[in-house]
Amino acid sequence: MFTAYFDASGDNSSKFVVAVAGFVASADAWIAWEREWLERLRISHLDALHMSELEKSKNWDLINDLAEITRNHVKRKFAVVVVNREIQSRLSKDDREKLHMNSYALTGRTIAKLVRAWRGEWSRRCLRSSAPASPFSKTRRQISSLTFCFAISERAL
Amino acid sequence: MERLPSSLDKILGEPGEIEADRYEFIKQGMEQMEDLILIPTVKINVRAGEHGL
Repeated sequence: MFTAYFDASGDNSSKFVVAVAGFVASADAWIAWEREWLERLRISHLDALHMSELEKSKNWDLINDLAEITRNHVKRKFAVVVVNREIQSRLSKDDREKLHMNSYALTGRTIAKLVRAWRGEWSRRCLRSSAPASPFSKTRRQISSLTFCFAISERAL
Repeated sequence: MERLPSSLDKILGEPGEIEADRYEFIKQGMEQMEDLILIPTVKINVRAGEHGL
């Protein structure tokens, strides 16, 4: 089973962009990630990481270590950026209202679509990789593979 | 990207920006949505006694 975590930066009214980024990992990997993440924060006498409150130039070791911990556990990253003045110039106000569209919504919808597409590809790979050795193991493998894939489908979004 | 730790670059997946073609796609979708409203012109003529009526 995969779980995805995302966070947004910026807002619709800012001068620049809205960005949404996050990672997908198995539930077990997230549990292990959290344990290591909190332990590393504890070494730096922190309970949580808030980048806006962190003096980056003095905390590069911490940031690098946390990035490495993340890299060791997650399966894939997703990130989408919408430039506010682009959406405003390319879609009329009427169109944006009709579609309930703003930078934040477009970023979120796009990233959800990317994750769904990745999930579809992953599910197809799951089925292809269940190469049978005998009729019995074939059935068993297909069932376990399908169960696994459906579990992903149910939980991924 | 220079401000990010390089280990994040090693994670699979590509960050992307919504560009002009995506907005065009959205606009095309809106136009198509309006075309897809079906106005039926087919009349069904079933005589009494047929098809169990």
